[in-house]
Amino acid sequence: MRPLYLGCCILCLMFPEVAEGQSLLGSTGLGMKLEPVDATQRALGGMGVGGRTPTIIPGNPVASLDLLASTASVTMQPMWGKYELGSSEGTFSGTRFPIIGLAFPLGTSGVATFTLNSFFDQNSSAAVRDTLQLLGNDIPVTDQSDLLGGLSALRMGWAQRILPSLAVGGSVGVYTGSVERNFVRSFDVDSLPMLGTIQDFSDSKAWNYSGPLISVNLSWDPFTSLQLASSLQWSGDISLNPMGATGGDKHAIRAPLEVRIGGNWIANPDLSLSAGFSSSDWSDSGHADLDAVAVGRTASYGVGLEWEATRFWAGTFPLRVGFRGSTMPFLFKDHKVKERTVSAGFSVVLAEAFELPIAALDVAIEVGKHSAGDLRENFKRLTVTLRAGNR
Amino acid sequence: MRNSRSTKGFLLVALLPLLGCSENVATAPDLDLIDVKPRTLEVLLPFEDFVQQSSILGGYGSSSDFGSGVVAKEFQGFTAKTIMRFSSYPESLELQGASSGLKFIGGRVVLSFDSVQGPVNEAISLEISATQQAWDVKTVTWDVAVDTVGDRTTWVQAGAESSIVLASGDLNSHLAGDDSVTTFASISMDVDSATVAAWGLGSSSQGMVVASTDSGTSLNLWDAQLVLKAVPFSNPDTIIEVPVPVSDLSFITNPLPVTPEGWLRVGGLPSWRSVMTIKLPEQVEGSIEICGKIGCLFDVAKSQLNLAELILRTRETELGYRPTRPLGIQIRSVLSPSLLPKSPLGDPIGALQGVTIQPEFFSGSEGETAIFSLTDLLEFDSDELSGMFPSETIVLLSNNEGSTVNFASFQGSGSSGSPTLRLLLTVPELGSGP
Repeated sequence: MRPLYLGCCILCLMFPEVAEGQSLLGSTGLGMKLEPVDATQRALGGMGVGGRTPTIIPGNPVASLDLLASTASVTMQPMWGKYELGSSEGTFSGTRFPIIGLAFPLGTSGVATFTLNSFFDQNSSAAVRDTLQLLGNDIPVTDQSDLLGGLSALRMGWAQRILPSLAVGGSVGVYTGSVERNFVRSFDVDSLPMLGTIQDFSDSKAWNYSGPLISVNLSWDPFTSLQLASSLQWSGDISLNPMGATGGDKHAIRAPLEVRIGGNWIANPDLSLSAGFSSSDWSDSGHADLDAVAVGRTASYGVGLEWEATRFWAGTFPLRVGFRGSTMPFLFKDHKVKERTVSAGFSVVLAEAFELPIAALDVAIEVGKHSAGDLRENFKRLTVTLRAGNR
Repeated sequence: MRNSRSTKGFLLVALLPLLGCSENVATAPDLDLIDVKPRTLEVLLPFEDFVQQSSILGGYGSSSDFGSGVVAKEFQGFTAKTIMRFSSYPESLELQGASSGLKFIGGRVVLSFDSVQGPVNEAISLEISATQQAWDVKTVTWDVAVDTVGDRTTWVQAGAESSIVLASGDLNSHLAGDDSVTTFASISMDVDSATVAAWGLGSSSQGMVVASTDSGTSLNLWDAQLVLKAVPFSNPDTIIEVPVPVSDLSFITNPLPVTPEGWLRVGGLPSWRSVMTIKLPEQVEGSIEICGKIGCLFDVAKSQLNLAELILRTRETELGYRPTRPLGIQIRSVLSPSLLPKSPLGDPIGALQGVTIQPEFFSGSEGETAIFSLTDLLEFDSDELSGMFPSETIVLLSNNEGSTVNFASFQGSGSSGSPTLRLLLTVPELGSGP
């Protein structure tokens, strides 16, 4: 099994950035919110709580309780699509690594987890061409602004099954990450040879994030066929700290309480139905610029169906379909941003012990769209999670 | 077996997502979403707001560095004479395989000219005369024969008029007046044996002055030669000619240009340079965009410099020194202002070839603008700037000092066209966060 660990380590070294985004939505508010869910939850439209598959999900160590062995997981997420904004259109693409996690079973009823996940993606770019009346001429200028970075969360968690049908968990962590804003105004005087070279105006600033966050989880099986779960995430102030030569004061952003509930129902041994819901309100962040674009209370919801169709490779071969709908916490050009996706996926068990998977590959493909006013983004998002346990 | 298959599977799947790793961030067509609103404004600083000190320095180089002579008489009010000294005569000569001593019995001076200003296709009267007092090729001027350390001797008669006329003649001027065509003409004038003998003594008073006696012409003398007539001791029946090249050559002009007062001069021979110590002001008048309608002063240090240009206005150059060809002028930093006029200079600021100014800019009373880039010199990093802007001393000088007697003139502090500094500044009105 060591090569599996090696593979994960190589990937982590190759791609140290946990998240990179591509959508225009990365430019508003704190950026584009990213759900900390793996490929199994992506395929089911889930919110990261109440899943049947033992996996590693940030802020929900209960999800790792049924892992048989120390496990590492990494989730990769290529995304590509095209956008229309008024008369402007284009394409975007990129790959994220939204979750990296480790889980260590503690006896037969406990587990400790360590996770790093992306929380908000702040990659964006904007360019405007204009003309300025200078030096007695109309001088074409291009203003280009780029944001690069994101807000992530680093957490350690613990979960314990206290009754066969009841498990509790909690995690503590810190916000981390940084964002860099580069702005360049360039003067195009090529068409005006009588003018000398006009140097670009450039401005580069960077901030990093810090702040605590805590989550508590509960999982309850009222019946053998029904599992209910919830998660409550509390955040202290997210501190926005100027880096290097970036001037200005620190800013504190009050992050909201986030509630997640979910469950799954085993309709028959091969078929289960899952549903999830989450909600948060970013409108009282204490940061005027952020509050100005905050939507208020927003919700995400999703439903999915999992069917263990057959056996494949070393274990079962579940097929999944799902639907997810959500409203982003920040306005885009004064409009609410809605995301709708339909998804499908499967898992391939690569190795198992005692009829339980210890290494698996989970795949989800989503087809979705973002809409906000005259913005339309149609995208496809592939999520691949590799889980590897040490036998 | 299962392990092997698992491993291969992992590796295969691990590679798949990497296919999509190239990043293509969507570019929004406006900046509304990003809290950046820079303002670019144009500021024109008058002379007194950025020049702390200006001065004109002359005397760089010598007319002897020109390499050729100028002969003019009242050409646009300008008179010039070429003064030269010949090399030592040979004491012997190789004739038919044997060395023989020489007896000089006379000679002639051959003068070659390559361009003319003034009437063309007309004969120009020239005369040569022998100097009667010591002169120094590096320091000789119309008024002064020697101006070395501890020795300043004026001519007995200004313009080396005390020289004794040796010969005169007419140069049949078929020289082209058009600078684009180079043509040549030469004249030969005899000198007697006494003069030849006197010049052969090698004294510091030895020398010859070439002058024009026809008004309104100006000639460029590009070569001169003394051709000695000699009789070899080994063959007294034969007269041979022995050429002797020029060893020292310079020219003297009248009137000498007066030192500028309140205006700038660049070029000439010896060359002039204009020095300015400049400094960006801490504050400038803000535009309505920056300050609103009430107006205000805004801190230059809070902006970024996109462009800095020194704008000069040409002025009419004195007759005789007025450029006839485009002049290249550059600006350099004075690296040690306290060592002026001998301070080392930095590299050219802005274009390496400087700014080329057309000659007609110096003939009208209105003048034209000449723009020199100072962006590289004055750019600053507002993050690293502490306190006030530093003073910078710059010098305007000719690209090819010593190549022409003509010079450029610009308005100085005392006129309506005084130098101005044009700045393009961008004020980063950026938001406090990303």
